[in-house]
Amino acid sequence: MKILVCCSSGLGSSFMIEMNIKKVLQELGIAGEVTHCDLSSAASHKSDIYVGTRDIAVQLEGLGGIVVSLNNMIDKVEMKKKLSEAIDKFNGK
Amino acid sequence: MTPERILLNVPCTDWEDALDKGAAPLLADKVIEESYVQAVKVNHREMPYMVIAKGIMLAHARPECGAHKIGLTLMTLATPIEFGNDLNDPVRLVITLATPDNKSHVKMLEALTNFLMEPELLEKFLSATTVDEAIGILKGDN
Repeated sequence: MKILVCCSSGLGSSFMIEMNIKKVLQELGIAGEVTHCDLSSAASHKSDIYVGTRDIAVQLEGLGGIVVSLNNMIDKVEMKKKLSEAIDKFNGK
Repeated sequence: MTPERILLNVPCTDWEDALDKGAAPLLADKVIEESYVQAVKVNHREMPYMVIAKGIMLAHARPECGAHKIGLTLMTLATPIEFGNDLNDPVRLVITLATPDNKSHVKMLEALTNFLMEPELLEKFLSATTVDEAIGILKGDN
């Protein structure tokens, strides 16, 4: 399972979210490949799940994966809930 | 974190003023150019997504916008300011981040994220009144 995190610059927020996702995946005991990039190169990184903050997420629709939209990028509770839902969806549950 | 990179209870008139004041120590130390501050403002005007969480603004732009070294300032605001992000306004902490490339800042950002993800630490930092106290909280002294 490939997870891609995007933000405008690909430097700050996407990297923070990536760290948060890695922590959550570890807690959930799920293996996954997590990377981050800037919005303009998102289309060239084919992924199963795309993650971004609310403003970014709308622009990730249509890339062919499941989109997770975050309100708060350092909130582990929100992340765990939304990521679990996306993973379930990915697994066809 | 050096004392001059921590600014506490700074009065700001609006979000642009807050971005200017947060970036000032980095400008003074030639970590960034004025163009970097302008780039942050342009980014923010386009999309206020840099208000990354309740009350927290992570001001940053691309390295090529005028960042020469890695640098970070943490500024708490005397009064919370509206940044135009309906979910996470008003902002109480402005973090200004600069990196000269895609990799140099990774460790710093990791430490920062770990700090921000501890709500209790964050609250303590926001109520700090002296720089010594603030640095102690960052170091995990208390």
